[in-house]
Amino acid sequence: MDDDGSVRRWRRPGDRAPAVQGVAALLPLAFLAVFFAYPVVTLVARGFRGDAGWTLAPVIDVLASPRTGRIVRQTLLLAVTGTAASLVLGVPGAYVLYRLRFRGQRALRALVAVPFVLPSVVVGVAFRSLLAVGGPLGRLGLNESFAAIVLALVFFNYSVVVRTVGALWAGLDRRTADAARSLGAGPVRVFRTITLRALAPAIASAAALVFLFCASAFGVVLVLGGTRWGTVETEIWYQTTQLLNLPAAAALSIVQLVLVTATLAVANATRARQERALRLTGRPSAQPVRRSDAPALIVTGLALALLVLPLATLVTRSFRTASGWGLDHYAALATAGAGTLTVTVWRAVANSLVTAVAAAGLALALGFLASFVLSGRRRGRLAGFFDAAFMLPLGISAVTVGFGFLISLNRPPLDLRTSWALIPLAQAMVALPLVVRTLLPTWRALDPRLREAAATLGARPARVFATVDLPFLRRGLGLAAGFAFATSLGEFGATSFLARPDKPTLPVVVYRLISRPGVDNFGLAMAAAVVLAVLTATVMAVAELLGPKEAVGW
Amino acid sequence: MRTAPRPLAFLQGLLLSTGLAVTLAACSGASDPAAGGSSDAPASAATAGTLTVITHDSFALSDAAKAKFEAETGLSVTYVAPGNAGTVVNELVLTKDSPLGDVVFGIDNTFAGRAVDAGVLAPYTPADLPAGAADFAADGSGELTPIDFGDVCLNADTVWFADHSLAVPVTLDDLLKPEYKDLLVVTNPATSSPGLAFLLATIGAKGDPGYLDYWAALKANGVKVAASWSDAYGVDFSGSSGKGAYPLVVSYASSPMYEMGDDGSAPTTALAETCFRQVEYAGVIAGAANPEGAQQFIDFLLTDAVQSEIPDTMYMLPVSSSASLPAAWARVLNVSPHPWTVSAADIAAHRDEWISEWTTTVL
Amino acid sequence: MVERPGLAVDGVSVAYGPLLAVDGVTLAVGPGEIVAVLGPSGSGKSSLLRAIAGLEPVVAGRVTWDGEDVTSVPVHQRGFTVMFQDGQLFPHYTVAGNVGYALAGRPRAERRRRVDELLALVGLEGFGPRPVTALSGGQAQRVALARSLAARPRLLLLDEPLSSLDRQLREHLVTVLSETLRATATPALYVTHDQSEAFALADRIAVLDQGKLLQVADPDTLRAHPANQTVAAFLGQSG
Repeated sequence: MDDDGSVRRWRRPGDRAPAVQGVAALLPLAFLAVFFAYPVVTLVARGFRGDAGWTLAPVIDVLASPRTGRIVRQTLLLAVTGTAASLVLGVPGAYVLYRLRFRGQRALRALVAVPFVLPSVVVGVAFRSLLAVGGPLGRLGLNESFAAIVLALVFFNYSVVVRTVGALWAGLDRRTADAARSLGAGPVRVFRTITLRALAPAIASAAALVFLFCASAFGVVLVLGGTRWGTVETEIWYQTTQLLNLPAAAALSIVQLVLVTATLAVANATRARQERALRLTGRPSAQPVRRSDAPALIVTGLALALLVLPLATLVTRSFRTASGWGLDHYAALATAGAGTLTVTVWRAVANSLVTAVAAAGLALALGFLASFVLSGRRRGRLAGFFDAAFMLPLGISAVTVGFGFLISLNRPPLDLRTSWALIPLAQAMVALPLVVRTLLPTWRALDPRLREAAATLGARPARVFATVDLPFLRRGLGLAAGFAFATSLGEFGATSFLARPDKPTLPVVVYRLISRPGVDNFGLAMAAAVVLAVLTATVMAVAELLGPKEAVGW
Repeated sequence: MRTAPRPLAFLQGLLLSTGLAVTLAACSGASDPAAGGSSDAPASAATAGTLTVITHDSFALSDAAKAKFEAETGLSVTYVAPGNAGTVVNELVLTKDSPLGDVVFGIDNTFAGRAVDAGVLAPYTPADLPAGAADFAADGSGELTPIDFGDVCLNADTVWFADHSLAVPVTLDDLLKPEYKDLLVVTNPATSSPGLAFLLATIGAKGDPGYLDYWAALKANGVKVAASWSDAYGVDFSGSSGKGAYPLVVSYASSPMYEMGDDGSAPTTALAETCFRQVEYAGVIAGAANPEGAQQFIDFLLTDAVQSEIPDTMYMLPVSSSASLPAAWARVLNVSPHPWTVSAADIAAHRDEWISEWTTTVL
Repeated sequence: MVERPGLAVDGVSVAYGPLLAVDGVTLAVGPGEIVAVLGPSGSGKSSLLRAIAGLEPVVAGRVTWDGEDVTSVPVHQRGFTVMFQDGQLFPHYTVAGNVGYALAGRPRAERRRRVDELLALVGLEGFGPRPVTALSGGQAQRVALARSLAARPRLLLLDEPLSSLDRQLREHLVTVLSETLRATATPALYVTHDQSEAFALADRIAVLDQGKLLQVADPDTLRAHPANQTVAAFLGQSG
């Protein structure tokens, strides 16, 4: 209608002035352009440059090679299985942790979020310790198997499904299901025809995220896959950092780009199709546990066991000393690990906190603007592009970005080669999609008629924003801040390319300790990993408290 | 300014004007007061006051040593560790026209050839190399100065072998015997630097293509391949905290030192006949903004003070024979008299080919 | 004196895509007058109200106040407030916060006095500090009414304000509404599908069907002389 010439420029309350919208869009886009698109494009372009000018041949050779074919097939197989397994375990978990109501639920929700931000090196070792021949679960014969990788992928991504789906489920109007039941539908039919359909947008959204995380999994695949399994991500790491095969890096980065774009397109289509007639009560409709919840409780119990066992392995090994058991490794956190480290572990904790504050602040500011733009009433093709743009960093290799940084941000006017600022910048980019995903649903859930009511009462657009939008958003902001902070705390991939040995972050310290021989180094690594896990759980628990009473998901 | 692309200039202007850059500056300033202008471009800022040192991620020096160097030279030093040795070399190659820093430490002999061939280093030979250092010199380019070395050797869990009344193997050929079936875990040379070193040991011992037959036999005798050293040593090896199922593992000659009990007894040992010697070099980066500072840093790495702390901080051995070793090292460590060798030039020429043939044979 | 005091709607049309929801409606609300817009669901009456409020764009015609064209004046500057069907109270404010919302910028004491005065007017003395989430449906609508009147709007637009309440409460609140509007001499446009509400409240009633205005008349005339069969049928059916 706005294109209709007969109508003067018209805005509903809540529609933003194009100028405001434009300025708000420009900042996060500029950030993405400079710190993501530009480095990635620069590196990929290098792959197309042969000795005698530009050439397509080497890249095409890589794309057509059987090795690439195998890697892509393995990536897809791992990602599809990992996503399916996460959904099968996560949807009942969402029900139990967000729809039911019982004591200790909040603690469980915080616990579930911990694996998501643990460095993959640590998770890899924890899983291997569990599954290795002679380990607690060694008898299962899962060592270095496909199943082991999938289990680890579920370990990481369980919380994504639980949170995203749980957020929607918690607010679902139960009367619709009651109506179906009164019309004679059994519980299974109600779930299939009513509940599952209502949850479909959240499930699609969660599936897309998990798929992206699985397809770009690096550390766990490297450690758990042994030598048989690889992903596009591990292959990029190998081809780029070890062989400096830039055509391969370019070809594989393009494969990733296609993968991400296709995933987002499918997810968006599913969401758009399903999002329409959703009825949310806006008020939590939690219910006490009943006997009929037993299957969901059992599945959730199994999933929690899968989450807790590797974490327990970490804790156990952090107490194992050369002479038996003790707190020696925790005492050693105040040391630099007998010379292995350049700083004490506590100092690294402080470094991590400072970096995470900067990264989370940046991600929140940019994510706030991005979600502001995306929550606008108009959702044209441009908005779709914008939406996808902010998800891209999730699916593109940290190696590509890290190497891209080195060769693109290394000359005036933007010379950041060895600057510390690159670390929070890289971490903010990783956290940004999660911030946007957390804020967006809150913003979209706001009834537009509240804005209209405010406007008819004489509130200017700025006041409508300040008195209606912001109070609503504040609830999502706490949670987004928590996620951004926790993600930055645990970020290892991009950080490892930019690390400063005199100012290492906690995951870098853990990695370094784990790469050294001796019970003391290993034990200290485990103790440091436990500190990281506790820190993360605390941040997430506080975020849950600050967050909306009803859950908000991605 | 001619190389500055217009859109980027625009974007930076935008960032500046909107305060993002200010925020970033504030962040870095708040937590990094000492670094001052250290993030200034080494290439563009020709001030003699700053030095950027690029190292691999295992680099460590004591604070005292770093402070001493800064005090003596008046330089303000920034240390950057962008990855393992291979990653560092590849990054130097990529950023040749706008170098990351002034001096690099940690290029080992498995990657030295690539660095030299790519021309990322400037010639420099310290005027007075300490005694013994010359033995480790790289092949003739004059660009790489040896700083430390370490032997990658198989480690054996002697307690396990005693418990099982089995002799600890000695040679590479012993590993093919049936009594040692399913006892060895190695790491993938494609992803792990000790793994590559051990592959080179077998190439040094068996020649090319003889090493492939050897590995085929190892495979038949149940060798296990892990992705990384931490994985093999920390999880699969029976002689360390992981209490795994394999009493033989690829590790370093120095590793047994870290398994010593309080009584000074070592439950593991390195097998001296299975070693490959890794030498780590430092070099001045071609196009460095501060080549004099870079040379001063290399000289500094060769001083007895730094050489003596290398075992404790970097788990390697100093190249200088005048450096003092920690007491335990002097007592327990047996430096292999005859490590297997492959020349840096050979490695540079065949590295990728060997790895891919190994992959085909073993995996 | 202005030429045409109060609200005048001249040939206003509202469209949703190709669909014409309001088709050339002309209507006026004079000073202190209460006009009801009566029509079945889907007749376009809510669209008409939203267009007058400035919440919906007008594809043809114009809206004037005291002869001055306000068609392109933004919602918040029109001085017309809307009372919505389900209240749309701000859940994060208290009752007093909601009622005082339109009084931003006034001295605190004056604000409090005005809020108390309005709460008394709608029969909710002392409810100020309560959270709105704890109110019953009838109480919530009374708060919504008080909120709409707080800043003394030059026109109050009511969009089926009672339709979600039960019959008994509705009859009671019609009286509250009527008394309150008369007491404050606020001109009002009252959209409803319930002719008993319209007849109980309005000075004049406008009957709308399929976007077109069929008849405007005072209740007695309308009952006695429906303009055509559609009007007669609608009145008969719902009465």
